[in-house]
Amino acid sequence: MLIPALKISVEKLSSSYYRALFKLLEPPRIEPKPLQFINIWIPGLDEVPMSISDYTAGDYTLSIIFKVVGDGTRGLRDRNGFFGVKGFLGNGIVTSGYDRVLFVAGGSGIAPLPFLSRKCVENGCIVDVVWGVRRGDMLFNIGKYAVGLGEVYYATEDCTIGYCGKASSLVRRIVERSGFKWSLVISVGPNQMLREVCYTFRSLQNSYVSLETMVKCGLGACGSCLLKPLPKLLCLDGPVFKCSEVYHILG
Amino acid sequence: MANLGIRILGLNLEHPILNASGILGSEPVHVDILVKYGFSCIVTKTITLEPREGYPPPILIELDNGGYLNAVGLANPGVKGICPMVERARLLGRPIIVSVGGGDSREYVEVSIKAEECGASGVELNLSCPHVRGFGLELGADPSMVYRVVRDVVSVLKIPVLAKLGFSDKVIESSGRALEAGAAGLTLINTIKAMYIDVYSAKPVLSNKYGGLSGPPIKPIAIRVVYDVYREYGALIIGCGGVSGWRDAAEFILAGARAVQVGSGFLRNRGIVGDILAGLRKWLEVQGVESIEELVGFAHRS
Repeated sequence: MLIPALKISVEKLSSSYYRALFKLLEPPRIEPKPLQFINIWIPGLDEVPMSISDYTAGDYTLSIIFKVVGDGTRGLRDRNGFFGVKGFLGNGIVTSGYDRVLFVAGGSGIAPLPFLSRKCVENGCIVDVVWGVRRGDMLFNIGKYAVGLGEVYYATEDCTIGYCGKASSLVRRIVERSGFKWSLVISVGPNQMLREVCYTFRSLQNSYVSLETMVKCGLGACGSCLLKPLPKLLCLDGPVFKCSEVYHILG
Repeated sequence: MANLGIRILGLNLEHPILNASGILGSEPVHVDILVKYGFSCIVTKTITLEPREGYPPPILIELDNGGYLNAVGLANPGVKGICPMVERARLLGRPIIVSVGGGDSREYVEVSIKAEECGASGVELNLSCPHVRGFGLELGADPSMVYRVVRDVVSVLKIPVLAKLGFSDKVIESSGRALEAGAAGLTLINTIKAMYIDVYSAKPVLSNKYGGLSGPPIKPIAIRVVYDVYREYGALIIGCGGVSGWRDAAEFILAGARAVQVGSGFLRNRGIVGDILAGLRKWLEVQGVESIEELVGFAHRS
């Protein structure tokens, strides 16, 4: 179903990221789950997959956090008026039953954190965050959009803010220093980072990654999002997988 | 135990549920997925001589009337993609039919020859793609063109040839001409050319503007076409269009289809093959019939 959506605002968060807020003009059939995604239609221009950054059930507002990489995302930033939301797509994750969650993000992998944190708070769990980016000027205050966070660690490869290096190395250091204290680990970012975080938590049962790949139809027909050589489609079987299911195709 | 086995195109199928062309089927791992979900025979995505990128998104939308509208633009790997898929199907022990597209008769012939060389069980000529200009729809609605393309392909092939036709005023006549040209059977019907406009942005949603409508909204049309073509020619028909449960499959079989293809229904329910088979088994029991073969075209009895 294509849900009509009106763009309410767009703001620049940092040197690289934007946040756009939409109001859905028709109620969706079901509520989204954290880490589900949408395909957002930019009328007459493109349709692009986007992680749901936040969603409010009461007034049907939905936000996305994104980087401008082409015509479609440029349209998301610059155009006003009506868009279309196809979704909610993919499997997502249910956070109930966990007390403390570690969310590891690389770059724009931070996008789904606000909604994840909101659902976590509803279920009485706390989210600790490790967020790594290439340059310090790409960071923004994620605490402004996420709720009830525990500890928040930043890593920059240009060594300007927080830990000097990659998010996955920072995660390893934190674990070495204070051990495992999470019942659930979720990582979103480049495959190499996912692989390294999965390795660090290889003894943990509930260690998940959210993958990215090209998505065209989003409904399981075209097969563009096949996770070769696995017989799995990102849009239906994912984007969230257990580390053990996909470890050998990462990086 | 009710017997759902059926014989078509010289193949003994475990049951009559195939996937419709266009649902995955453009590379070997897709074949694994289709087999995993239980289809008795795999139908590939439509293959053209050269690879095609297809259209940019949006290429598929779900409509609020239960239908789907797609304009994928015949994205496919070209003939070089055929052998790997056929080999994978053989490895998995499933027959595979290659859906063949073309801009002219020569292209249909060349792609079909490649399918036969690769060891496909048959070809299905897509004579009715509703959203790529020059690839089908105009052709399928022209009975003499249908005759020509089918005859050209049949004359050089040993494996059976199916003609897949779409809805048009001439579908009965085109079906007859395809059979006359030597088609072993017909797949009826393809999606129907349609459009969806978003009323807020006031723009057609698909990047191609026009697409093919599938799903429950087209089922009664497909049933009517299968019924009429079976009555006219008593030919082998594979029914297709809006099958979303066992009752729809049963309806196609009663109208005259020996097998049924599922496309949109699979998008909504990945377990649809198992659900249909369970329903058909019960149905056979209630009807007091041993084999599903006995019910093919049963709605025509006087």
